[in-house]
Amino acid sequence: MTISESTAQRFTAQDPDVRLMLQVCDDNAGAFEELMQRYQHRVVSLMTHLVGRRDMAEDLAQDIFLRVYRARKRYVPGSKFSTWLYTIANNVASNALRGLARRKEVNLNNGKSGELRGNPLDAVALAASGLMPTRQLDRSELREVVKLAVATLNDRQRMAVLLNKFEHLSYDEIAEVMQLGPTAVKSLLSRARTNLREILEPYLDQGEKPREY
Amino acid sequence: MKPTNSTDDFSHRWEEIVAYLDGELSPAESAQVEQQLAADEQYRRQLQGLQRTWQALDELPAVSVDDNFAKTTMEMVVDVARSDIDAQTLALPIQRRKKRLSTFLLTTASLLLGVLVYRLAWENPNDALLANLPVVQYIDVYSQFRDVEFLRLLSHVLASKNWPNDLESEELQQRVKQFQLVATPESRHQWLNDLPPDDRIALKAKANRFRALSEKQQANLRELQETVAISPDAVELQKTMLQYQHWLNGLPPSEQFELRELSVNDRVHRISRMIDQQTLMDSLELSPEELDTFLRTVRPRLNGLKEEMIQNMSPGERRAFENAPPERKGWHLIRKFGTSSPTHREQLHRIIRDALPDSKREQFEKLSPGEQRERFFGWMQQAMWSEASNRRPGQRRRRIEPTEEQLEEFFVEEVDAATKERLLALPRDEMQQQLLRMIRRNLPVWDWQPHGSQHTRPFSDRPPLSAEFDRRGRGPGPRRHDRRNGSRSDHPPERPRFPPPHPDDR
Repeated sequence: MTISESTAQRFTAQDPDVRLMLQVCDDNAGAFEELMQRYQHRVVSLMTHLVGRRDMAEDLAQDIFLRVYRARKRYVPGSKFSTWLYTIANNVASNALRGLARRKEVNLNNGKSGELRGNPLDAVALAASGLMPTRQLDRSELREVVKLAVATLNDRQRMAVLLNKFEHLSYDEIAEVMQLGPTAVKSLLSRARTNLREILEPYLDQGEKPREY
Repeated sequence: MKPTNSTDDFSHRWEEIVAYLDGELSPAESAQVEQQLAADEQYRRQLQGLQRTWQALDELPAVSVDDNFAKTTMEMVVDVARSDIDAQTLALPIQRRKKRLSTFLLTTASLLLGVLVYRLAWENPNDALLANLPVVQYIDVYSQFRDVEFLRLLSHVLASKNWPNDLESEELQQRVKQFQLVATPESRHQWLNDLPPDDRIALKAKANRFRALSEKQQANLRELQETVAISPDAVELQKTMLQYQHWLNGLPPSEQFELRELSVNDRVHRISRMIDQQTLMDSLELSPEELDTFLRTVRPRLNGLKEEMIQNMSPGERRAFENAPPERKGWHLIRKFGTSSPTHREQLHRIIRDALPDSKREQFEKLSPGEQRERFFGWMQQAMWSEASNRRPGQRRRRIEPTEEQLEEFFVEEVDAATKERLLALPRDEMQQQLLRMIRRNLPVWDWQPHGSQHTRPFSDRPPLSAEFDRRGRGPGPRRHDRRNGSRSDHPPERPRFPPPHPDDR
């Protein structure tokens, strides 16, 4: 997609992170450091909630920052910097999740349980699904149930929810990040939130923990 | 709760509720949803359920990374840069290869410098502080305006004027240089390393204030800082901002607050007027010798008018004067001079004018009658201060040790309402200590009689304190240019308050 001069100027004027990225284009290492400082926690957090593994999330986040650096010479500000960054993050995460899904299939076929168990959120789901001897109404339990509920969303729903809830992206921005139309995003988020409600509401109302997912 | 309509309708209904909660509907669509919410209990429950479960997501733990993440990422970036250049260089003819290599060296040097900055930052737990340092260090002044247009307009309006407490050109250059050091990532760490311990403590306090802001406010301040740092007219903006900060530091908190609340245009014009006023007032400062002459000339002439003044008092004024404690009668009369009949005002004006050196007379005439009175009170107080300081050999300076009763009297009669309110909020001991400090700081008091007459309650015979500062923003301590000569802080005298959030602040 060609980005017009006026669009580039508009985003350059509006977004300080775009201006920093333009300095990165000129090989300013300090600007790259600043951008990384500003986004590292958010990107690692997003990846952790997406793939469910902290170590993998950090690797993916590094990959994202490397891609940002590699793409510096081609960078043209056609949106807010964060939108562009999360587009890269979405691509990296999608590839990783596809890889995880493939490995999970292989493992299930082999029937081995000791290694490469796929998305470890499954383990969380198991732990929260009834193995705990007595129900404790505390925040750590709520946290586990919420993690489980988020893990039950499909990858696209999860990405949309995380971008919307924690990164405060608008539907249009999420559409751009996920390469979807705004209507599709509206529908995606609606389904995601309905799913979350179906899992979380029984727990919040009656303490009923989700069973198997 | 089962859907009663078709699946499509049901999905559409959920989509509308979710989009409504996310603020993604047009005003007309929102109004429709709200109408339905008002009419349909089930619809309302659905919305509440969605809201509740959405809020539960806040329980997802936040994740943060340690310094090692940044370190290894930067190392990887350097490797990427090196491989990129290697690959491109191999494909080139020898001459161009040399050129490419020199570019590579520059790029790598720049990146390595970046890595070095990071390495230093890892050793320092304040890496977040380092990243935000350009905003944190100047948070006090950035919290005073929202847009660089303010600085541009200020610079334009004040182009033909001098700031009353103008920084020496060299000092201003030094401050601009420091601003730029802090703004540049490569030099920031060194600057921080060289910071004296006291300044580190002050910086820490500023960092805490910065952390207390919302993300949106932090982002706004960063944006402001960046514009000041890299605009085409950056140096001019920086000079104006640093001058403004320096000037602002001399104002009492209430005036800083008032200025912040004004629109850009109004604020700039108010500042311009205040500066004109201060310049005029500063031009009327008297040297110690001039003050001494002034007091010696004025005092006998005022004493000569005392009887006439008392005789011309109305019965009510006379009663008030007679009921006043002896040590307050002098000040009582002086105030009366300033506000009574046109004849007396004219007399007082003539006395003051005659006592002034020629060089100050013309400037004095430019003041309004109220300002003239105020300036006169200021001179008298200053003169008394000077007289008390120049004690005779062997004579100790009076140390005020007021009784509790005197403290109470001082509190009731001399302290303005705002200061009273602040003092009353303190524990009793603390309140007494503060009162004592206020009394001592405001020595000497108005001395109606020539020096040497009796003083039983010396602190009480002086004009009322106004939140410890007079209207020109001068504290009871040494005057501004005295402070300039001593060590002074760059921090405004109040904890910065931020302007009300923009409507788009989240």
